[in-house]
Amino acid sequence: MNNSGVHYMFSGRFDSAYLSDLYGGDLDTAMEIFESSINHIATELNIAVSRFNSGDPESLRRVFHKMKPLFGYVGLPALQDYVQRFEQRCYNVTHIEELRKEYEDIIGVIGDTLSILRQELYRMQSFNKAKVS
Amino acid sequence: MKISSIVVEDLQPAAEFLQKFCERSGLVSVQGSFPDAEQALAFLSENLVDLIFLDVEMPGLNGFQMLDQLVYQPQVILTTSKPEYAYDAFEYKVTDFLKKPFTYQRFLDAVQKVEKIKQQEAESGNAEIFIKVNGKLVKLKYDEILFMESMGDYVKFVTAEKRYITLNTMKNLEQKFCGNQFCKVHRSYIVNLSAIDDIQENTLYIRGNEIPVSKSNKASVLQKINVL
Repeated sequence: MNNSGVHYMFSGRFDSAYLSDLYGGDLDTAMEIFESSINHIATELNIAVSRFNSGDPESLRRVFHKMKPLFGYVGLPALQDYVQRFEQRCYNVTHIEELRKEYEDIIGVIGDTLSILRQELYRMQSFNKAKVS
Repeated sequence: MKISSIVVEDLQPAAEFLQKFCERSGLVSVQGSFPDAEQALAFLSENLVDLIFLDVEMPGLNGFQMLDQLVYQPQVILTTSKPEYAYDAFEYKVTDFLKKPFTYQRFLDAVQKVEKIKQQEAESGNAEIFIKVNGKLVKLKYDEILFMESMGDYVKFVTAEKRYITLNTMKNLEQKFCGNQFCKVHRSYIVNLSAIDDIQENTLYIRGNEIPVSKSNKASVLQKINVL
């Protein structure tokens, strides 16, 4: 990914080819969407916790449905698929307790992912700043 | 002429992403972005667009329920992260279905389908539009419209049979109509080119109506009509 001919290389855990398909060479747009996605994932994560505690699998499913494509926008399509599978699991249970283990796992994974995303955004911003100066 | 559109999407990054693609393409103008169907329906009751980018699962009405409530149906590109909606999309005859997130190339393919259909409608003379007159929506076929005249905040649509006055602006209509079949001939007039009877100096005539042609528009009018 480049602006003005200077290439930005995403960290190894991101799907660079996929990000290149999404953003072409537009690093500014990629940064905007990363920032906005991070904020939304953090918000939805809090909502997910409260929906789980309320005990309704369908309302929990809706939160993960909404969150799901955000992982695609930040170049983590495998995580998007993982969330998709969890969303499907929410359809197939009648009691929230049947989901507890998977729910705790996915909340942990998304929490860790948020840190990684914030680091990547910081890298992008630093790269952009260095290039401008 | 750009495709006028709205975005109906409750996920803000997805709406931003889509708007960036619209800007980048230079083919689509976004008239508004709405986080739910209710706000979009309110906008569509007062405004006309060619295209709706529509999410399915949203708070309140879902995308399909919104389509059920539309009085006129612009073209629709569904944008969802759930491929299971493809069957419903087919049933609702949407123009295309984009699975989020989608690439720029895939977006362009979808927009080009919209353009193609729009052009086919215009060429076949089957294109139609609903205008709001006295609280109801009236359908006009493009072929029926002789010309449109600005009246400040209102516009008069003139057909062979009737005249309709509706709240709208010339700028909006110019974006919507001007292309192969219609042409702006003056800051206050857009005419149906096939309805012109004759042109003399800076005036054209349609069924006895005298319409001024401004100097700045005259060349483009002459270019669009078939002059021997």
